[in-house]
Amino acid sequence: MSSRAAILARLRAQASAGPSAAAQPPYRPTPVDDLGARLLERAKTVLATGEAVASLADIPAAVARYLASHELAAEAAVAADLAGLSWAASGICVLDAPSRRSVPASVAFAPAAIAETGSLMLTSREAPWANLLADTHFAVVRRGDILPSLEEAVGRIGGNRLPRSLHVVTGPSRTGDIEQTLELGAHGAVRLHIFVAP
Amino acid sequence: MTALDFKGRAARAMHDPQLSAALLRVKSHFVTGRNMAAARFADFETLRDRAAAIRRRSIARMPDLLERFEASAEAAGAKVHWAADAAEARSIALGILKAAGAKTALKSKSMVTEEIELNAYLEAAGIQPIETDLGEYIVQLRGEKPSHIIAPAIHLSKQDVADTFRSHHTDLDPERDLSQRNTLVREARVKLRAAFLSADAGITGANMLVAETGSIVLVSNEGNIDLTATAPRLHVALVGIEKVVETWDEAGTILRVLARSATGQDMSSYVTCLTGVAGEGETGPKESHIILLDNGRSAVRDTDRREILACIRCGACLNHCPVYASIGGHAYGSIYPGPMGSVLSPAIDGLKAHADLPNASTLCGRCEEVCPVRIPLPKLLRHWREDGFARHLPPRGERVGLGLWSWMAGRPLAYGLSQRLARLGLRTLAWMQGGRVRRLPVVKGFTATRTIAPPKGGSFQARWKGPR
Ligand code: SF4
Repeated sequence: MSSRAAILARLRAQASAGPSAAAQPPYRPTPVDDLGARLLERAKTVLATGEAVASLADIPAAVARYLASHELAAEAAVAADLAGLSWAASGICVLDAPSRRSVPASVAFAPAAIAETGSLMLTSREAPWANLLADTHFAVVRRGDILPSLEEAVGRIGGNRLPRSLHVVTGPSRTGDIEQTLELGAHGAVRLHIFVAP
Repeated sequence: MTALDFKGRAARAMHDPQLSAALLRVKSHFVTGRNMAAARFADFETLRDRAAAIRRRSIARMPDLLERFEASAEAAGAKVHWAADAAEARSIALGILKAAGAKTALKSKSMVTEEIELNAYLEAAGIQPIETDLGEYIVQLRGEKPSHIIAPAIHLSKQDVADTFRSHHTDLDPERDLSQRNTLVREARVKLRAAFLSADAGITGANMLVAETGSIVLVSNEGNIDLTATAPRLHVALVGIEKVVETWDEAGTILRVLARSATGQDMSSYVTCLTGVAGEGETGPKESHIILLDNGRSAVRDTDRREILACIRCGACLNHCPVYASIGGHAYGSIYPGPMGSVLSPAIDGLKAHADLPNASTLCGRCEEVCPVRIPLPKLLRHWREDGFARHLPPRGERVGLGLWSWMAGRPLAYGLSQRLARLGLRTLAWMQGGRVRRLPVVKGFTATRTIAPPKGGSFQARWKGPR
């Protein structure tokens, strides 16, 4: 008998293996009026930063301000759907970002975000690597793509087929592995900045 | 490491000042974090009730859910394998890696791969495993085992880490400054980044299997899992069969209790959800395998210890355990330490290998109080103790002692007399040893690391009989 058949047969023979508790009602966070504000407020508690912008056109200048205030070079890899913004006018040098390359900074849309936890959802459809490999990750999320909970974000992105990978990112990368003391930027972003756009 | 000399290892651990300091940090950091996170959530107790019910429902419906998981995962392009035991899981994993011509394999932290000792097996077969979780990477370089299920390097100081990096990263300037934690983290980031972008395969565990979509869910704080599972061309996940849940709604509730109980975060920094293989235009591997491991789990489901299968490996029971707090993870001699380990390890390796573990607990009940899925750990430990006693496994001294106690307990006069003598004896010893009992005859070990206050007042029996 194959291990598959043996394991399933053994499990099935244990007819009394515990009472089957009733299905639980799904948890949903208490509704809030402004999901964008909630997202930014929650993101700050996990050491991300963020701001609401009036239009996508404001983003290059905001990126330039952020980089300058952190004394970082004025350069970033920019996702194709944001490349049309006036980066040069804001003094940002757009880096050519072949896949599998670490970049100092990256700007890209997050296809969904989760207000409850201040999280972004990245997926394999948009080649999430640049963002996972960048030291500074600028995520742009549209108000309409902010969902109250993880479950709703999975439902929105999944439709009838989930992407191969979903990356729910809550704050910058961190580790407490050395003496239980928090350090940011273990493998993923060292800094995470969120733009909530209309 | 053998499970045979638990007492020796525990005693050594208790006399290790560096370990004691580290364990004190576990307590202050994780315990406070967990309590604050629970308090921040509007109704954490109800959430725990739901999580407990979800896990029990999943265990009860395990065969159906596993088949549903398999069908959905394979429909999405992954291949599902079933392994009866550690040896079968190892050989399936090696077969997959060999067939794909993999020479290097990234690994994210996975207790199941520790359980089946995968690294040594792969190395012997010429495949180099590279641990990518910082704590696991450090213990791998040192040739040690993790000492905590979510914080593997908890027993080490930053100086230990600096020494380890200096002796292994020999291509770097030997004079570099490694005195700060952030330089150590940065060095590991740079070292491992190169591995991420060049390895042939990625091996992960899983925190959950979601049957409705055939997805596996993993949590991390560093972001190493996202890279391990998506950068190489081949992904292999090793998962215990008990990790299955039915729906995303259920998975969401489990994630809410998991991070709060583990680290005191509302959500882990990275939750990685993997479904099938990368399709047209997607980043990620085109080949993905999921190995479902039994290794004693289905057998324990048929006993009164089945609730341990509900465990979500948050580590809260370790963090709150007074025994773990004084001896650390390595002394248990099992890769699953603390209360959950003392219930799970005998189920996996057999009680004979871990006869001491069910006794490595004071049954104080803190673990059950904090367990997010309400596993009655003290009760399950007692079931193992009963098993062990029935099978003549406890140490001889304890058998004789318990036998004597049960003889006396059935004879009130003898029992009362022995209690009076014991009280008198303890008071005399305390008087002789300066107010507290510092050394006991016969059971010297008991007072090696603690002192006892002399008994005050009458016996419990006397108080029970007297005016209440
Ligand atoms: S037994 Fe409970 S507290 Fe302990 S690791 Fe498992 S889920 Fe967490």
